[in-house]
Amino acid sequence: MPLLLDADGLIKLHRAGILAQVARLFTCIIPSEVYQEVVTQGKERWYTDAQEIEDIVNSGAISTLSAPAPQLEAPGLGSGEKAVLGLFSQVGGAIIVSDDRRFLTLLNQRGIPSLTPAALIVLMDQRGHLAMGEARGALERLRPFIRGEGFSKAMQALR
Amino acid sequence: MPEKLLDLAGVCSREQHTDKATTLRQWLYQGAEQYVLRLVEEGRITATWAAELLDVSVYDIYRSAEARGIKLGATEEQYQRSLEEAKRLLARFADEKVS
Repeated sequence: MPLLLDADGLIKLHRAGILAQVARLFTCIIPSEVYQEVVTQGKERWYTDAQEIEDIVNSGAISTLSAPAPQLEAPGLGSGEKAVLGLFSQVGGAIIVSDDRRFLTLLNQRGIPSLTPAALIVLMDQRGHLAMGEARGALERLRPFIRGEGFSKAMQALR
Repeated sequence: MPEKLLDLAGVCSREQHTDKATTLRQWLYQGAEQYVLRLVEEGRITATWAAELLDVSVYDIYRSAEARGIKLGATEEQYQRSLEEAKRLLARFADEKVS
């Protein structure tokens, strides 16, 4: 099951402290536009996430690909999300990981499967990929960056 | 533009040791930033599109939203849908290896 990550999904999984684990368990792909948004622009502005995410990507755990333009109009989306849509048409069986409200709305309208970072943590927990308490810890670290309802629902869904 | 507003810009510019035009540009940017964050909060644009519009990074958008107490991210309905997607994937994975 390949995962396509937009900037939001990539940053939030990193802030949850599990990006490296996700990248080990799943085939993770980002378009070069997302690399630009998260790593290049982040480093220009001295955000520490950017360097740490760069290390994970450059270790080979996450593939960076060039994306074709999406086939349909995608209003309200940034370059990274458009590139993720473009890659989706190329990568069979992919799931898009994002917590962005606008992007998730569009994906749902088009019947494109997606997971929020919190739901991915629940999935990993249910599959036994996270040790006891690890999923809770990840959700707690993610908590400041997502809406309260999402945090509560995810916590309730854990083993 | 009301004249008193221009006078106010003059007062502000003197306090900040800058000029009126700079003050007006700062006010314009702050208004645009607030508007763009509202669009992201309402799910009308993405955070990365907001970043492109304001010529900042997506991290800056998160930081600005946090400073204003604005919560971004998926709605409750979207979280619920996502958890249901996770359950469907779990059922699919019952006999498969994660690849």
